[in-house]
Amino acid sequence: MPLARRLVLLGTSYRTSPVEARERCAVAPEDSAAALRELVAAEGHDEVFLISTCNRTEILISGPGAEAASETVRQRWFLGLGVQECYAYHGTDAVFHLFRVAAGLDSQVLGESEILGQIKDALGRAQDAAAVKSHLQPLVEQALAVGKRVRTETKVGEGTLSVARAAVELAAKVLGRLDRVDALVVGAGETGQLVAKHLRDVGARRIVFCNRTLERAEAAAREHGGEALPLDQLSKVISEVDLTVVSVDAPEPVVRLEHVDAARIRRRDRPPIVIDLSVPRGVDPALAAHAGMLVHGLDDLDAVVSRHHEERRSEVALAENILVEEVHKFLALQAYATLKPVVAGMRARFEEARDAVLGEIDDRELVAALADKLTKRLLNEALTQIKLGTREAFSQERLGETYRQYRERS
Amino acid sequence: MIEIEVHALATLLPVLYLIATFLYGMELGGPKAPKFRAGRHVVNGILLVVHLGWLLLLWQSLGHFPVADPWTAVSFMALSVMLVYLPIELMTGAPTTGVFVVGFAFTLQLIGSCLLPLDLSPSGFARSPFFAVHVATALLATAALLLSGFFGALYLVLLRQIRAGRFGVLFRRLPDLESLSRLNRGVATLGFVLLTVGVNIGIWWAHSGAVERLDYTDPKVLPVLVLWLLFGVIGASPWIRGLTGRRAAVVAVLGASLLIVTLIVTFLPLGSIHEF
Repeated sequence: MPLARRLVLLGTSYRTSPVEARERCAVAPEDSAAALRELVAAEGHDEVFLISTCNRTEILISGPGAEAASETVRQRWFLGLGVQECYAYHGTDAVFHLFRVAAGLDSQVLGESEILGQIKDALGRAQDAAAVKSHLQPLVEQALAVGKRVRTETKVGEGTLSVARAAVELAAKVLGRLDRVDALVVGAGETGQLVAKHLRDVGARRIVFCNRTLERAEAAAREHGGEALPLDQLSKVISEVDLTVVSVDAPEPVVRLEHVDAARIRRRDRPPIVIDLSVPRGVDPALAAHAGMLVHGLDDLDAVVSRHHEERRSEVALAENILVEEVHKFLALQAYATLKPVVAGMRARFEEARDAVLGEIDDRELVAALADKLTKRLLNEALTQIKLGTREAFSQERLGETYRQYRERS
Repeated sequence: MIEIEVHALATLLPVLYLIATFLYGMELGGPKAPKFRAGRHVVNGILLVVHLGWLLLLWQSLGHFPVADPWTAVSFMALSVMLVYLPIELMTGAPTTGVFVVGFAFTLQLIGSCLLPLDLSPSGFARSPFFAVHVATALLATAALLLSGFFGALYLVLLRQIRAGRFGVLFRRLPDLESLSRLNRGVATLGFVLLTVGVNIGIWWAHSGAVERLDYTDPKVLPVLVLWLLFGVIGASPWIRGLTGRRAAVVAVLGASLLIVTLIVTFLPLGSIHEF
């Protein structure tokens, strides 16, 4: 069956939807097993891969009825949740897209490598839920390999920003030198710690960690040289600091208007800045209306990262060449894999024919050796021709053109 | 002979200011080519030498500090803007605001050069050395106060853009909010100090018999006192509770607007800031 009819990728990302929409269809890691089970149980496809990060939620489905089933998935996981901007890629386009995502070419922060870890974790969860098998598992593994190759062979990820560093750069644009800044990091997860690391690198005067679990805040404070507070003491410190970065995984905003001492904020010489890196949002949108505060979210980081995109344009072209090459290799291997039963059948028929002919000849020893060599030679020739034919069917030039068309559509 | 050289340099000066404005414009919106940066430093150097040389020629020609009529005053104002701005640029390393500042200086110099009288005649009271100090400090103070208003306005524009999430060319190229706030307060303090010196020397000089009568109730004296107070407050604002960076910027913009109105109202009809 052609790839286009058995592979569909549906999703929404920072390119198409604002954070308010993305948070509606985000799937937390602890909920993904249930989501995968629900998706696999649906009719029309037998394999599912789901990735949900702060910048995207994408569902890859594979199976004989994937094309037809994609509409149900779109309705249930995107349109039904009020997310209208849902893209769909079919067949080769879906492969291109997955590989681009793994290569960091579709990331808000171009070339960032965090996405590789996120895909790896998502693959692990899909394997645990038995949602990926012979089709999607090799595809996602190949995407991870492509992601690593692009970062090794090009400079697209060299000295790149992370979302955490982009947040620190945005803060610097408001606050100037950050060595005179007191910062609050809400959430002691991976991103929160990365923010703290960057803040420490620029010499932030004071870093306070606030986390639901105090032990994690204390551990982060020990590692990065700061103070730790439980989340319920947020209001004590938020009006004191110049910068608050929120990176939490919570269904409801953890930083709300009532945490802020409005009079104190009004008296501050410089406006405090709050940057929310969470999806769903960790900062109540009502806080943005507060006259004395500057509240920014993930979507605002584009301003900082666009400069880096410009600087890496030539590297993107190199990475895209690798992408086309890898998709070509992958499709050829896939096509060849589908011919495996045919090849095995051919081998058996050739050997049957050889034995039948040998049965009719008296001088068996000499002729048997001849027939055996001839069978192998002919079979190898046939297999070589099949491989060449498969490669030609997916010529790299033609794939390059397909990639250009995919980029125009996306 | 000197008069020919004076008028030749008066023609050259706006051209130099225009070239400097163009080079600063490249810093804001053009490619970050090192040749533009080097060119800017060279042009700035030539511009200062030519402008100071022009003033010395005028001084030699008139026999006194050559800022005794409106148009040489306007030209000295252009130089004052540059003299206040260039050290700021060197200290902050952020030349992206230069296109506006040097563009303003270009406009002043163009006006000064175009309206410079063909026949320059000396002024009697301008021969006093106190006059030179009074006028030079007052004009440098005016330049500093205008720059304070300018940095205050940039602060407010940038703050508004950041608040609205509009991260355009100004966000990318302008200094950060904190730096703009410090620039606003820094030049306001400089302007306050210069104005204090300039006004006091002027008063002392007036009382020493240089002018017939100095009327403190003159409505033109009041705005100067108001400005002196306003910019003193901006300079001291880091130590004044509640006078935040944004409020200091608003005060600076109001002060600069008052200064411009005062200059237009008093300068144009009378040809001098004073009536005597």
